[in-house]
Amino acid sequence: MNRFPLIALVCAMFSTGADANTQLWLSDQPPDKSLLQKMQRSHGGYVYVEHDVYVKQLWLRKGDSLFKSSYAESVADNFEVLDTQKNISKPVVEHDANSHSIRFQMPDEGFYNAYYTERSVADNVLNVTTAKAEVLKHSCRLGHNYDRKLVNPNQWADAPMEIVRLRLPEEDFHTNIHSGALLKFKVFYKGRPVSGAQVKLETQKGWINTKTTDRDGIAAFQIIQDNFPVEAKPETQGAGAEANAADVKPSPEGEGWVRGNQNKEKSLFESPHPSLLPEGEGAHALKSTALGSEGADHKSSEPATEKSSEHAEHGSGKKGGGGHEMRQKDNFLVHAEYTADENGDLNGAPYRQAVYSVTMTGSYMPNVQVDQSRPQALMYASAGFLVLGGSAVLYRRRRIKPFKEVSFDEH
Amino acid sequence: MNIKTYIDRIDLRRFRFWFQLATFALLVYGGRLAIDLGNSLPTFSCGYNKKGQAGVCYLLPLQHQLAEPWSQLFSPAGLGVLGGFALFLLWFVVLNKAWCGFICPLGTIQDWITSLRKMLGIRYSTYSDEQFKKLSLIKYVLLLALIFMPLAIGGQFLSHDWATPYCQICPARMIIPVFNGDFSQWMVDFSSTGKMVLTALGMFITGLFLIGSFLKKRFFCFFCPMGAFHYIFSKLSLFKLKKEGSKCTVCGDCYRVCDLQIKPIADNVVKKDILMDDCILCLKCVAACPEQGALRVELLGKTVFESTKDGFVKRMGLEKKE
Repeated sequence: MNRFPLIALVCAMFSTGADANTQLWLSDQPPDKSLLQKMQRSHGGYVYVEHDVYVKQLWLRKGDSLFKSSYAESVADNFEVLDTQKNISKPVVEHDANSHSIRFQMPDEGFYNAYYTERSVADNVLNVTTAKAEVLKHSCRLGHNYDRKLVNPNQWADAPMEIVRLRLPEEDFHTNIHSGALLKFKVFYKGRPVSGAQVKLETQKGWINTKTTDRDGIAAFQIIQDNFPVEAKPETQGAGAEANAADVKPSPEGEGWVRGNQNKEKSLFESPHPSLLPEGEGAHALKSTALGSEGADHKSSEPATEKSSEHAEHGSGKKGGGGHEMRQKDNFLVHAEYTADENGDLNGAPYRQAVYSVTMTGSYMPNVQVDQSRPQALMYASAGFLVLGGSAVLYRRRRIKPFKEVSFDEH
Repeated sequence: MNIKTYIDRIDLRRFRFWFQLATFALLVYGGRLAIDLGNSLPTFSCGYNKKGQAGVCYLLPLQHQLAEPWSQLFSPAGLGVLGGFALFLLWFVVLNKAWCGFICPLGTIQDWITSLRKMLGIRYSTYSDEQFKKLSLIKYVLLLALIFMPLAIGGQFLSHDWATPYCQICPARMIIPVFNGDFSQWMVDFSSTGKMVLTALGMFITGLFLIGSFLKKRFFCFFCPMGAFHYIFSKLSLFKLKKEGSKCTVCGDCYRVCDLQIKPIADNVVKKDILMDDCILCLKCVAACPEQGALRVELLGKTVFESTKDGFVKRMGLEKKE
């Protein structure tokens, strides 16, 4: 009995804090991790393969950040899927006790977008929240002679608010985003680029940067040079990342990173409930038991092959001797918000202002070039060259017999 | 002159030069024209040559596939490995080891380096018989390593940092992308012990390759695990090198022109199927043989190219003197 007021107080604090900054986003991490055993990894993350067709399942998550989140429990069925041919359709929605998810087929190669939209009115303000996921369907078995236009992002013209990640130079289906990459997001309000929208990018480790879209609706971020220690532990990540970040000389797009406070709040979530796992941690834990995949990491130092994805996602086997986990993928969450002066009513509830927001997730990997050395490489190549070349020269010299005149004494 | 006679009198050196140039351009730059021959090529069409590859050397996907977790590799999902292997075999059976002598881009580069040495008037090196015997085992050691190291990764006995071990030390990874202006593989990766060891070794071997190819004809082919892999399946090939011992005078011309110093090509007058594990099927031995029908190449049991007195005389430039 004595504990009840304390628990109630903690719950009240929690719920208040969560409501203040709650975001919604779509994730392919299931609440029941055993489901991953039924899926295969692919370039676009976990998929089911049914009759040779990829089927993607996405769950709706909510929370303050990637680190502090849970599965959304009560939602409307406002889901849409935009396929590679820009056709919009309704996915299959599945509800269970703890989560809500959608399933849709991905028969063609290219990017599929999934959207969840929620509308509500509070204090005469219309809140329109959109959660977006961009999912790639690519199989190396189908070859790489695909139409490069398929790499371009698809935009849903009828979305109340839309965010699009502009492609990196020479991006293809195998491209991974690495620390240091310049990511550009274009924000659309009712189908048109909007300037002045606030765009926040938060990494899985809690680094946050906020930008405002320019007149073309674009906000650019240079992904922070994060730290990926081999034995990643939350307690050590913060200090490591900060130290690493201090070494970075950022471009204008790379400025403005601040540290979130997820470590401080982590203690609230140390409970074993799987739905409270930080986004992406489930996959991390399942590395060694992952099912087959088709590859993800190619643009870094690995070439495109049918089965090369484990570099990015498998990470199976024992760790190497210290340093960084170069194949680890960390997630980021982008949240764009725009306030518009609008009047109207929603189901009889009037509003005089509208706040539109949209979220999208992505992932990034360590900058592979940080741990690479060219001078050392040339040194080793020169050593090989000189050892064999020198040996051959010496060997040949040793075999040269000096001319010796032979004279016969005939007497 | 019928086609058969024309082929038997062909200037093989010139034919090989142009054929190798064409296949080099295809495999190294073909990707720029959206040519994609798949991931199971039985030759060093390096997968790290991202900008221009028209197909990928089978050793790369093979190592990737063998590194899959055992629970997957030894399950129905592992049948994908057999699919890739079947494709490799289909490519291979058509040309046998001629993939090495006529198509391999790394082999072609070695031939070009040899031409440079010739132009500079520097003599080539050879191995002694004793050295030959010992060194010829290296390719089998590499073949075993490229199979068992990925398997150990899949079985959780080895870190994934040792993935694609052969590709990490193969000079093709460094050299072939250079032809597309890509020097990104010229580095030592210090992100883990495994990567550091393999990439440093790869650079060292690249240095050996460059000077070795200059001093010794087809220096690297002698150590190539793809050659060893080919040899395992060469009996299945439709393309064969045959010898008629009764017509051989053991003059040794074939041995002297052989880039790989394969002695049995001259000495062995008993064996009919004379293709050896080090052979690259460049067919220089057939072209250099003066004896009618002593050496021949068969495709599906039909002779397509054989040694003839006439062809020998023409190739040696004796025709004009007569």
